[in-house]
Amino acid sequence: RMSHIVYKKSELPYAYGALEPYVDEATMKIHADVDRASKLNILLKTLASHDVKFEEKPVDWLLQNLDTVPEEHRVALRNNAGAWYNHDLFWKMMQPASEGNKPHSKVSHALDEAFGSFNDFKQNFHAISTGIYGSGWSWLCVDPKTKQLVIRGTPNQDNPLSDGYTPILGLDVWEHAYFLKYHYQRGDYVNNWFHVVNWGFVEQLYEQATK
Amino acid sequence: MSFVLPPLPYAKDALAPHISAETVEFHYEKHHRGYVVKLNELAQGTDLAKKSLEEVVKTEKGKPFNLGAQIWNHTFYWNGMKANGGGAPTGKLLEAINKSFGSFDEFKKQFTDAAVNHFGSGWAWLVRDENNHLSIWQGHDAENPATHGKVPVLTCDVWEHAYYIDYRNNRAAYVAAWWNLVNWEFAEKNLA
Repeated sequence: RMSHIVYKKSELPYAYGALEPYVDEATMKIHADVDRASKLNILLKTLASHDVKFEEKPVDWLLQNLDTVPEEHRVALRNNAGAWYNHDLFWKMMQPASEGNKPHSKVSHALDEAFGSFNDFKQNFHAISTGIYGSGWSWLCVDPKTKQLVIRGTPNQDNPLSDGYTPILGLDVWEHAYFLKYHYQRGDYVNNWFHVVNWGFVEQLYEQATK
Repeated sequence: MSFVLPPLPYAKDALAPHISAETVEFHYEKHHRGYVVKLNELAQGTDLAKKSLEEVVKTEKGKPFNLGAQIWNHTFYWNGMKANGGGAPTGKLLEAINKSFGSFDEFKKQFTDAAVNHFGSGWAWLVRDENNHLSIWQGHDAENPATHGKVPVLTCDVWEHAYYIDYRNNRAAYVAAWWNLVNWEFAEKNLA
């Protein structure tokens, strides 16, 4: 029994400055406070009269079933549901930096299998993150066919769920995510961001995705 | 032959306060110059080095296109602005705007809408056909209207690097400020 979902601003699990010096407070204050819910809620209200009760579907279902959305609203839903969900995940995928922050056992093993080593994974992730042209995200995902870990980039606010992949870690590489501190040096931002990855949450997502 | 960064048509603080000297410094010296440096690196020892910038934009795809088009787009952007610009166009350009949009206000509204609401990185363009019929065109990332059969008349850069220092995420405020800088003389020169 589903009920009408009203999207709200995602809560930041830590203070704006908690990811310093790697992700700066000024960026987080703007980034975390952007309203990504209103447009999505309005759009879902617009879709309310259709056979499919879009306003009752969870956001991951929406992103996995974009082809069921009426064509004239499809791009808007991809953009707005994607923007809301990507950021909702992003805040949880980060945590204040700590000494020796590294992947937990299952993900660590899976990264070694897929990339050879943790450092090899980081190099690959860096290459994909800096290779995305314009605005987008880079993701560590579970490939549903092989259950292996793969890295994929998505443009704009697209989420890998729409291509059938399950994201377990994501990095926002839109300029707004790093411009104030890093300007055009996206590579430095990526390298520093590894310090604040929440590997505990990544492990949870991996377990869910490989059940 | 190597690709060259054209000089800015004015001092770096000329567009202040609408676009700060700091933004122009970063935008021109890091982004715009960076594209030129990278295209020259990519072109070294290849046939790419023999092409003009216009040829690169017209014939290349992928990385060389992105670099070449962004060099071209930014030059067009800087030229489309000036200190104490803005106001409204007159003469031939105003005539074309009125004919194509009904009024200057309607054109301004449509252009603003395209610039503010373009999703992700890109550019808002005023373009024309061979009869000076004007329309608004949105380019994603490095897209250039010339590769889509349209002649560019004026452009506004809406990549976040164009406005983030001055306006943070308030793109609408940036576009509103940009109207104060528009070089209508330059735009008119781009008519047939």
